[in-house]
Amino acid sequence: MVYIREAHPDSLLNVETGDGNTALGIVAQTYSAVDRLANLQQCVHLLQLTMPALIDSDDNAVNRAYAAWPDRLYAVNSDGTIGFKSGPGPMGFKSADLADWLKANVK
Amino acid sequence: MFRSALCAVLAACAFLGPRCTANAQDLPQTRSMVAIGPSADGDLKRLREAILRNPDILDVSLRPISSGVLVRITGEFQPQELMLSLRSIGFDLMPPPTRSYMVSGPKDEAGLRRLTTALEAVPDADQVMLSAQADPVTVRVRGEASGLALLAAAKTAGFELTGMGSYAARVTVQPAALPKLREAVLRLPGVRQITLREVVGGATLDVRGMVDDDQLIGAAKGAGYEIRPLAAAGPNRAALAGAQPSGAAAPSGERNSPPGVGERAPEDLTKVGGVAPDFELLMKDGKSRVRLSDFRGKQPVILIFGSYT
Repeated sequence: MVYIREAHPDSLLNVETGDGNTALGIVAQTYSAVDRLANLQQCVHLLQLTMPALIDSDDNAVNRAYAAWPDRLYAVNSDGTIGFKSGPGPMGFKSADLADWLKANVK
Repeated sequence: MFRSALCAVLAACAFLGPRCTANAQDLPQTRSMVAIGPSADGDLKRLREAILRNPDILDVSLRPISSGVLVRITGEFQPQELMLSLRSIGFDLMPPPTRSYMVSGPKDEAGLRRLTTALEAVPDADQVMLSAQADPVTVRVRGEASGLALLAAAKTAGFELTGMGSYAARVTVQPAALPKLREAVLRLPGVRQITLREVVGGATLDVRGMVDDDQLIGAAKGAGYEIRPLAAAGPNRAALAGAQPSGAAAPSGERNSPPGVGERAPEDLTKVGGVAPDFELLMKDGKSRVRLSDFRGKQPVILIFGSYT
């Protein structure tokens, strides 16, 4: 996972307070790697993610390079070329399409 | 982003509140919402055409505002269907903002009726909801009406309004100027707490207490600072004044924030078959780094771009 700028930083959501409870709050937009790391760690904890996770740099360079915001899927072949690229989220974020590509291309 | 499917349904009902169930006997209603997306003339034309494709929509007016395009629709429609159809042409639809105020002034019925009439007359004030039995009396105004215009209208009716809730903004300011900005904001009556956090390129500002967005922006401007709201006046922002324990009724709602500069790129730079842009990024442990090209010749890599929201 590559953690990029928040998609809905203005949203009123239930977020963890760190003591096992949840409370209404806003997950703020992130403008630095430090802020982004904090949000990622909360995301990983809450969603129980086990996949490797990286944070985009302060200048959102990787987000821009991959036109990733708000979310997007890519598969990069072992030769470094792009094998699969989804449409931009949310409508284009189709994990089933990626699954089909993986079944057809990765043995 | 992982919550978006559920919250799209919540946001759809937030448009209408008690009118979430359409009644065929009702006269055509006019409702406002804010569309976020491209705002060139051709885009607004596409937006209007997309909305009018719904045969039960009688009229639509569009007006560019600071947070997007104010859309006023007369007729009947299903908000979620409209949201989905507008997303397919690059627009996100948001419920109109709601401002909450404490009311000071006469508490008799005639006086409060005068206040409601005065507030309803303010341009873009779509709905005025007065809690006359509450102590203190409060009023919520839904729509894009200017906060300063609401305050002025209340004053002519013999009332004072005090903004409620909290406010988040991003400021372009040098670190040395932060104390001066803090001082300017703290001078506003009703400000209970202010948090200024330095980030790349400036600071984020979080203000809690009885504060109105426009008063805050005005106070900052008077001290020489431009502040840009991180959150436009959103639904029931008074809820942010204190956290609720889990299990309490949660009026959560997802707002579709506008993309940052260059985020809705006119053309993607990557192509299937082309070389994936290389990068080296920090891992979630905050220490080690990973480079994409390290996997070249070894294994394919799946990249899932996203965020918690």
